[in-house]
Amino acid sequence: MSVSPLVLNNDLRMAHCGALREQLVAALAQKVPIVLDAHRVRFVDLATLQVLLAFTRQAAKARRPVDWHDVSPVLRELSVSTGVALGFGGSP
Amino acid sequence: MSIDAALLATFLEECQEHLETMEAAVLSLLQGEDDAELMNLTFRAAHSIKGSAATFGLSYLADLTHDVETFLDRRRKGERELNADTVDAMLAAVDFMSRQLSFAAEGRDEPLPDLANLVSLLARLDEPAMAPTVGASCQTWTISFPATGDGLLMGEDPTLALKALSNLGRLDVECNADALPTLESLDLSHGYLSFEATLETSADRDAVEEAIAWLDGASCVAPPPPQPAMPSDVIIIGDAPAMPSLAPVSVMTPSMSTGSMAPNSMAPNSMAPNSMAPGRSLMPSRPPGGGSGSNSIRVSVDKLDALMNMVGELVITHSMLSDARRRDAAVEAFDAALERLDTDTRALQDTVMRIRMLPFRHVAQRLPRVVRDVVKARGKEAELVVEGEDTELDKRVLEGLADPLTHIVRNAVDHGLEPPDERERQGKSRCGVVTLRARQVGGHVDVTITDDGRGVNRAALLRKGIERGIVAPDTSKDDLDIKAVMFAPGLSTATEVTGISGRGVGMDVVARNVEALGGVISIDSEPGSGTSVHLRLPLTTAIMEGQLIRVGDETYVLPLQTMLETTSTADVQRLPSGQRVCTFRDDITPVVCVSALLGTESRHPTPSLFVFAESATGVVALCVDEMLGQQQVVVKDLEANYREIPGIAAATILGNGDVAMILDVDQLFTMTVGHPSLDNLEAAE
Repeated sequence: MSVSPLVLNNDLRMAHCGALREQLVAALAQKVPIVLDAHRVRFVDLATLQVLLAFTRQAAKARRPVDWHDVSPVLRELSVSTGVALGFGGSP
Repeated sequence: MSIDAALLATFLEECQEHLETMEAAVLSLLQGEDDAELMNLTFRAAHSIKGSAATFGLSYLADLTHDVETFLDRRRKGERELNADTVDAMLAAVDFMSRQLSFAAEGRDEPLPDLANLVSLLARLDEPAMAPTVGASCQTWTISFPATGDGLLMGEDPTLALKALSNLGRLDVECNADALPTLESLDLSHGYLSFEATLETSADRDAVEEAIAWLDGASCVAPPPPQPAMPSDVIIIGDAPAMPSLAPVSVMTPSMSTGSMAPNSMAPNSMAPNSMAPGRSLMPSRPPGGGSGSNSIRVSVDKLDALMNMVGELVITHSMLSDARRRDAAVEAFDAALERLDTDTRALQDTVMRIRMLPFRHVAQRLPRVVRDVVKARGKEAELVVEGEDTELDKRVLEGLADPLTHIVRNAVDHGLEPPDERERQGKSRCGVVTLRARQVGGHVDVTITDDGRGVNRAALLRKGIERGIVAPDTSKDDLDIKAVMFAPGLSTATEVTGISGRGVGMDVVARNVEALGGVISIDSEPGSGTSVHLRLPLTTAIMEGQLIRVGDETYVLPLQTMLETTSTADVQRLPSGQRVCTFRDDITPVVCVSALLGTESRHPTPSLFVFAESATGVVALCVDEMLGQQQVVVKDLEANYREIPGIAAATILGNGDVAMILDVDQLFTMTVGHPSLDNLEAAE
């Protein structure tokens, strides 16, 4: 089955994370694999990081694997520098 | 204004302040003040911008400031030389960031095209490898970031600090997400995550503190004396008094073993208020005074308390008046209450005025940069001396003063001061001096800009004046009215247009700007000794001392500051051009008939009273019917409330409720000189 990935915007900050949360809640509600495409991400603030973390925790709790596609270096570095595990694979 | 827009406006304003701090500090460094604190000040300012820029998604600006920080840090640590090239690069960075911020203020979220040039300039002056290496002298720090809570809304984002720390060395971070609620119940503007970081770095204590200090608004923490016996020594950066809901951040001093360190304790308010917070200022080379200047002002709590007290007094007086009316009290009771009201009103006015006042330094601190730029471009040597920096002026007056001062100082260095060799030949020191003095005299402030240069070239000025028809052909050099010619539009005696000054555009605008502030400008010059430009400015533009005059049935207000003398007799003559003039203190003075120009009908067939007033271009004699008295008037902007009227600067409301126009003496002069047929002084001849 082909799943359309949820493509994250390049600018992920507080002002935009309400819309992101809605998309992620909707993704959790659907019974299809969750695929996130993060190749465009250039900036992430704490507010958005918290949304992403809450999302991955809820997905794990619901046994819904999240498939990260093409994570941008910015998001990957942020995950390392904050110790927030988002489940990209690898550290942290 | 939305929260986002309000926060962005605050961010931009604060960034401009940081840029001013950076510029002033860099220039001081250039002047030989080898002060580590200056370097730290510059570093902190850059760091603050970096943190805020990232918060607002201006990642390119955050990246640039990061490069600037690194660039500075190498000089601070003595790893690179601090020289003129470095200062140039720093100033270029300041200018770029200012332009970039203005760009962002217009809602344009993209880097300016010359960003790459600046980045490569910084890189060229530095080494490519900027990250400090972790070596044998490494120390280990433990840094705690409690959850920021509502501080996140104020830009308190520890991820940015963590990123900065990661640039200092090896960073291990543990995130505590226990408090994080479910996705649906997440408050998006609340910080739930806390972090514990271990940093292994060769960077010094300052660098580590700098990386995190902005989080709670504190930016300067004095390192404690070494206390080997107390490995758990903790410096607390507490809540900044001015920033609500900010989480404290603590830094542990390094130890040989992180395991030996006790957990950080938090003690809000244990730190002195932000010691680097610069005051409000105006930026002629960046947001020029006026339009794009800031609309906010920082007010001390003491001043607000005083204001609140005054409001309390007014409430009491109001009660007294109401009570007297209810009791149908005697006139004496009303008189007493009115007297009290008068006292309260004046005190309230004084208090509010004080709130609007800012020290002169806020505009003066921009000028060393102006001098430096001209000196560099023109091969001059100059020193700027500023006196009276603490003299206070209304914020609006200061804003309006920024551009004129910049222009005058630039002219003084570019045209006033001779080249060093020429000065030496004349027995002067090679380095010219431009002195800027501000002092309060009564209800106004005198600002004088003096240079010790060559003085105004009267012969050249006379020649230009005659060419332009401003001066009569038979005028001698000694009789020349420097001010009248120099402030004429488009006039320049400079033989070379330098790109800095010399196009003749400016001194008339300077005079106009000063006049618009209700000020008066004059100039003195001595050949070979130098030139002085004097500005007399009101303390405030909101309230002014006015002379009430009557012309026909109308009452007008003449700014008292412009008034020189009155007389009931004057020998009015007509020039061949049709212009009426009279003599005042041995000078020929144009006569301005207020009734004819403003379309009111004088009650007198011949002028009964002449008021001599000072305008930007000289003294004028105003024909009026009667002098009514002097009083303070509240200035109301006519253009904003009605429309522009030629010859009228603003309006006010008198005690009887009538609206009175405030005369613009300079415009009246221009109108008369341009249209001599408009006057009605035939009968006077």
